[in-house]
Amino acid sequence: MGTELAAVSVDPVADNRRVADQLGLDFPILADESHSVVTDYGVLHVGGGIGGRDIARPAILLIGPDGTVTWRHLTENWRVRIRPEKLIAVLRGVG
Amino acid sequence: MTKSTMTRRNHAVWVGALISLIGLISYFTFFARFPALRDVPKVNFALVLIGLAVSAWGLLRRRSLWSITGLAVSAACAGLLAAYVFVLSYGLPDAEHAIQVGETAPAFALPDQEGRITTLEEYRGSNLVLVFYRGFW
Repeated sequence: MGTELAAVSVDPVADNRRVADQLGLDFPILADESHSVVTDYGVLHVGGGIGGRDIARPAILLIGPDGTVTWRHLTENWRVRIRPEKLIAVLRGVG
Repeated sequence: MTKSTMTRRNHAVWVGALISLIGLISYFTFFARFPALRDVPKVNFALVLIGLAVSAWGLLRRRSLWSITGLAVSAACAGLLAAYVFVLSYGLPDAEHAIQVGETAPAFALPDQEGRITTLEEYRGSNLVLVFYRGFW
């Protein structure tokens, strides 16, 4: 079964295009400038950004083929994110 | 003690302060790129502690307002690094409202970096790893 990757932040499209170009990213980086999706998913960090901007807290969700959340990782420290090898192990687990 | 020795020892306080400053700044500009050294900043803590020790040694050798200032700069760098690692970076909101395992992911339609609208529905039938980032790159 295929696994897709997508990122979300509250940054505008132009910023995401620059980052994707700089880092050579070929997965979609979605711009949630209105914070609506971040809010729907309950991962809004009010005042967490530069100058007190509202941003997304770091979070990784695995959404199954039927649209159900099958795994999530919410770090309690923004410096410490999940390692790619751990995530790959999780993905192997769901086949 | 000769004058030149005293001068050099007085400099030790500021050499220590410089090591501490490098220890603080290099975390953000360099060492945070390496996951193991980002999660547990061993190199940076070592640098600020060495800097602090050198400054303290310098102050013991020659006490002056100038030396005390140097030690204070060293201590401030060590304090700022510790504050960032142990306090500031834990400043995240409660996760109690975050979506739970077993819940249906809310639909979305957002522009990607090319401006193309992408929806959750497009991923139906696949596993999707959806990563929320703090952003401001």
